[in-house]
Amino acid sequence: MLKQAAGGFGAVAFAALLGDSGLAHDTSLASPATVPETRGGSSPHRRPTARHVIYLHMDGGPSQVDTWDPKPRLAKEHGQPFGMPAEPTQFNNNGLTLASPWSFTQYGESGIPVSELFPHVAQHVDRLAVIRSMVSEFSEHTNANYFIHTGNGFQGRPSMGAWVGYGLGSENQNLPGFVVLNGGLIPPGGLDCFNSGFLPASHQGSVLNAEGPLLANIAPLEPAAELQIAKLELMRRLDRGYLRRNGPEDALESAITNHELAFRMQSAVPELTSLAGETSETEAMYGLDSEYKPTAIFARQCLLARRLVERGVRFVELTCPSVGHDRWDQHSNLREGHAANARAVDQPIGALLTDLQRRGLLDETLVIWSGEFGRTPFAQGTDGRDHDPFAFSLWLAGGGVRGGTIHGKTDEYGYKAIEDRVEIHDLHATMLYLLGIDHKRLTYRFGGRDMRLTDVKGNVITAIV
Amino acid sequence: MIVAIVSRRVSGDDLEFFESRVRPLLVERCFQCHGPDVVEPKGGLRIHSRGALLEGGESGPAVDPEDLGGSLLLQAIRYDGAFEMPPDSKLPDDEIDVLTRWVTAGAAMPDLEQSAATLAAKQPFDLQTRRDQHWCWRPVASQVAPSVQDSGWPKDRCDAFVLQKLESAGVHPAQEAAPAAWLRRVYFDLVGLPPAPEDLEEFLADSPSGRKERAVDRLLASPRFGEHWARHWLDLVRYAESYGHEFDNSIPHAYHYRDYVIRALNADVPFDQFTREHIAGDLLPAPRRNPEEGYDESVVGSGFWFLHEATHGPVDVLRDQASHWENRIDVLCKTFLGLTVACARCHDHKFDAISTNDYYALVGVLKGTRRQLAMLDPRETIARTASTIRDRIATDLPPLRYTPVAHTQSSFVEVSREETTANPAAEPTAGNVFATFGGEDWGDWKATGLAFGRRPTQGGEWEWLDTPRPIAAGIAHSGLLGKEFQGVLRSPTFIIQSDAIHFLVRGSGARIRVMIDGYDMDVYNAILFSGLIVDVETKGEWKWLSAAGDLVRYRGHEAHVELLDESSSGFLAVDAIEFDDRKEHPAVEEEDLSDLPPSDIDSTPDGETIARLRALAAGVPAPILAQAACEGSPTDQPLQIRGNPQTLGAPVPRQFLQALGGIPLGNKVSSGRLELAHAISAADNPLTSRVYVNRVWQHLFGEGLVATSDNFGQMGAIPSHAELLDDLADRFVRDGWSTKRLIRRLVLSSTYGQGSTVDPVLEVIDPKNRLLHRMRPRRLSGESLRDTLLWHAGKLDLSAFGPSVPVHLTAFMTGRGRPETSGPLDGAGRRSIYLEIRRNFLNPLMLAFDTPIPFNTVGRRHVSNVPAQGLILMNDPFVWECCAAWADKLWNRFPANGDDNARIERLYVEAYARHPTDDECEMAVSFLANQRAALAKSMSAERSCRDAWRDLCQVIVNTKEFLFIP
Repeated sequence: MLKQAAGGFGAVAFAALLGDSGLAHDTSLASPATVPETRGGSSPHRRPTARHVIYLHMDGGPSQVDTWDPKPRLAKEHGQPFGMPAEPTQFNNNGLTLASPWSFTQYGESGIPVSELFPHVAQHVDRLAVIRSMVSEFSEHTNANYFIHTGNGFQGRPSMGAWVGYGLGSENQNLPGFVVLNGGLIPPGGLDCFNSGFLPASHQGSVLNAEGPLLANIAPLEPAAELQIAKLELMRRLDRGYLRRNGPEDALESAITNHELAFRMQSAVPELTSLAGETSETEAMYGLDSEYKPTAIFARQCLLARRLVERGVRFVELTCPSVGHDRWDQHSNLREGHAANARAVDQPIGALLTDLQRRGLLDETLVIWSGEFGRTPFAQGTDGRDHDPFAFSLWLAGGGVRGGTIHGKTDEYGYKAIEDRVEIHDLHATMLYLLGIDHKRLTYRFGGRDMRLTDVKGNVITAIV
Repeated sequence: MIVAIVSRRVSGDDLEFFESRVRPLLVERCFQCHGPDVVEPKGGLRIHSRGALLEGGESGPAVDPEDLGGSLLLQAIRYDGAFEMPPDSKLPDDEIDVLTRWVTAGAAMPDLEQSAATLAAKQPFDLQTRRDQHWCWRPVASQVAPSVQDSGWPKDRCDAFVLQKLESAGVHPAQEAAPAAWLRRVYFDLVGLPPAPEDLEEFLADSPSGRKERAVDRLLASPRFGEHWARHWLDLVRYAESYGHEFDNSIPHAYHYRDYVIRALNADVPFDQFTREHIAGDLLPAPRRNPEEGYDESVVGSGFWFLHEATHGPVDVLRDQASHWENRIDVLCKTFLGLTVACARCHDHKFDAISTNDYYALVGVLKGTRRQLAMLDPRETIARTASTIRDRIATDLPPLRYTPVAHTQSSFVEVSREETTANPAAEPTAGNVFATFGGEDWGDWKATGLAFGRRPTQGGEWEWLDTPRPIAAGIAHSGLLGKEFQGVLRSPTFIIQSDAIHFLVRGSGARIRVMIDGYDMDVYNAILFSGLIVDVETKGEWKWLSAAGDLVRYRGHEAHVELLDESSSGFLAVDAIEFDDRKEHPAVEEEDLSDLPPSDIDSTPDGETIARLRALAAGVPAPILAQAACEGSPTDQPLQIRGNPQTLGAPVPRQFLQALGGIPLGNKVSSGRLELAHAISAADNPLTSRVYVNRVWQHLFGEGLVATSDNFGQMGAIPSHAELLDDLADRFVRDGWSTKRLIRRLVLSSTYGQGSTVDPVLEVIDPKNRLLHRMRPRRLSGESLRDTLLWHAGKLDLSAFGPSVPVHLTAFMTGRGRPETSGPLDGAGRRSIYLEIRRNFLNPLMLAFDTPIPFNTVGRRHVSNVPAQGLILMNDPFVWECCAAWADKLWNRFPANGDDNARIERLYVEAYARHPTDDECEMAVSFLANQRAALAKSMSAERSCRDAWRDLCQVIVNTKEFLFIP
């Protein structure tokens, strides 16, 4: 009766994906106690080009005109009143047109211009699909963070990592399917950005700290391993007796299986985070030895992300380390703040792309770099930028993404997307598409509705896949 | 006009232009979403004929024959209206030119062919048919208990319904559960804790006849009952004590609501009353009184409306407001009616007999509702003191023959209504006068607390806070009973049409607040709403103070003013309120606004009298504050087309759901909330009782008769035992909506008394146990697990109520709004219901064991298996602490080294409510020996004995028998 071979919710999801009518799975219809929850891979709806996602969350909202969307007009009109009518902003302290402090250089065969903030990532530009026409629906951090994480601007929905785990299950029996590598800055909105919402708790993101203790309760407290093993052995014998007396009850069997997974994780997680097997060349490439501590922290996160992907974890999200200048949320001090945030992540991300590539993992790993919205081309005060949900830039790489492409266009100031606007629902639809999932058919019945990550929206961005 | 256009003779040139230039463009750019074959066209606009364009979609005609150039379609493609189409990119200019030419020439087009699917999909929303076709709308029907073959089995009526289905499926009920197993089950189900060995012993020794009844009655009478069942209820109302979002600000005084729920369950408040208190507890003519403190208990229930998340600084405050309405309606309707009414915010419900009108008819009720911090009056001391002071003022203070007409003038006039209704104090007016408080009562203004009294000053009142002085008529004054009294006065809703609001005030320790579109998070962070909270500290002078700042951003928005005296040592007197575009009132510099001391008063109060009044006021306690609802300015809400606050339709008259009768709610002076409360709690409402008895059933049997306990609609599950559900609902109502009597019946039933062991044969016939041929083992909730661990450890503090124990913060709980200090690891030993719930810092143990995230109604928890559960039980320091304490407790009871067997015996009875088998004893003994030996390598022998026992306790905690209710 033990359902070890089943794919858990993932398999349930896929059974429905493969059917005609979409998933109408409702755990509240099944006896909750009988829901099997062991995990396993599943065959997807379309041939996937990605098996894993690494999401680099650039918390705070990097400025598009300073990163991936150069606008010469800003330099020409620097210090002049802004040439377009301004929408309401979060701080309502709109200043004059503000040129980017950084220059852009074209890289690679594609010639995509990259800001001097990202010399390392620039080396990979032919692998990137840069989207310059992203839009969000929210000007506030928390709503926008919930939106990009869950497809809904309010608290309580499942994070995209949870959806991916629900849809695909995990390839690794000893690790959770959705791991958050916390660099130190949990995004505004809090841990609910990574939660499972109405999906079962088994899909919630497990937060691994980059520093200090890795994962809550992962370390046995027994002074010697044999002590814990003896305890578990007695537990197993007692559980077997109980199961024998009670009869084969799914709920009990699932709980027993789950306990075994927890036991195995105790060794799987330290193995994951031990970098003993990594060469010093690799460590240096990522910047683990960087004298700039935020770079060293993010380097470790990026290296762990690769190791997680190697071990079959479906969805890995990285949050930013603190650089002492706030996250990418430069309402003032744009120059120093963006420079510090870029310095923290550029080298590690460049190394991550290199490392994935040379290990053949980039082909099956979708890497997404994005903030929750963009920043205004006009100043907030004199030296900052306010939130801009009408345009922002992000890039995707690997996992079947067409590299060396630029998609979408903003106006001459980079203020609003005007061509090929991409909504966050479209990003989610595309991500699921690359993973082999039809976003319209990945559903979960909650409160009488078949809920989707993409709500009732979402179009795959065919130009970049 | 429409007729003229439609019937206008279409020239061949027009059609040719359409075919050659327009149609290809529409096909490429528009028809993916609006084409003639799209079954569910976006915005309801399907372009298949000129008539369809004139009819338009949800936002009105796409082509306006009166103003062809201003047609919505052209606005949309020019990106200069509410819509921007196509949504991903603006069309090239030449294409915009083509469409403009086409529309301005009259939008000639032939009728395009539509597929059968689209024609079929055009079925209009038919509420009545949907209502007639779905079971949940039908009245609860009285039932006759079915006859069964095994007539000895049923103990309660419900058993007959269950058995009848079993018998017709050829299935027999399971063996009765062993008495000890039954006792353990009923303890966990009723109070969330296991029976003590002494309780078990007493039960087993009791006469079998009636012992179950006696045990159940004891448990229902225990204060622990309400604590356990309150948690079920809190899942429904997304109870939390912080707002989440960026800084996770606290929801002040939220715990009073939690305590209210516990008290209500323990007092077995009839569920219809409980329901009314939630919806309109502030409006009940005869509210319940708190049993100990004597304050208005009912009003606290209405706090449930406001337990939702909230963010600061919304750039679009209307959307923020709309999202809160949606959440409140969602929670209300799922909790009480098992309906997903909020699905109808943007369009008629896809499946159920619920229209968008139904949704906005309820929004109207909420629009006329505001949040207040209710001022609860313990033992009515505040009211009694107020009354005493009023009497003393009437008898002890000298009457005033003259009263000042204005603070700006030194003249006095004889006290008379005519003279004082006009209020020259407000002159010169700066702009539009909003309020002068010249009436005999508050009119449209609404008061909370007693400080502002029953009316504005009428002339002839003394103010005796400092030097006694006569007070002019026409003033809202919170200090006439003494500074100790607190109160709030709320204005009617108005439309902001000025850049500033000026207040002619005198006061100290008070505030004035302008609330825009119900937004109230500016107390935490004023971004985008700065300058709307005005501190009043005028040092005895009359002054014009102004709310301005960001007000300029909200012209055209709705707002109201709150006059707040929320301190025990301040007061607020407001003479006039004016709207004006200047940031400061012009009188500020022109006028001397100070009170002139009255020189023509007949006599002044003597010092002794004043001292007596002050002493009386000094004895007034501060009110207890609780989140609650109150009435605002009743009005209907315009329909928001596709849920968008920017695109409004016609106002929707407030009324209850059409499928449930559609009675009108409210009028010009009432929001309709009280009527809504009565409509939902009506005995003939087919849903409220069904939904509630189903929830109770679910908590006792693991699954509701309707498995989707929050959704009785078309997309929900159909009842497994429809007649039983109706019988339970019917009798529940006739039994006075008593929760305790309902629970008592159910747990004393034969169905509940069944064993839970698996019969492989019956499992084939009834694999999901929908027929209830046995009981289902159910995993403990996180709350029960934690409470039980503390209980075994001897560390459970059973004190009830009060402020929550701050959340314990682990290294993994980081992010903005993290409390500065962590709560204790063991939650101070309090029951889990008393642990603080901060949205951004949820307790990891509760999260792992499926306590729902507080964002919406969750009537049925997941039972998931996540490794975090195992990791917590194996490695969490809290679990270790409890196990060590449990082991110590056993050692203290049986202190000799040789007492292992006695300790094992006791351990088993405590943990499982049964004795160990010989085999289990042997296993435990040999485990202890091995563990002692291994431990002794790194510690003293004595210590190793204790630690080995701790380890054994922890093994027990990790066993499934411990974690599951049999």
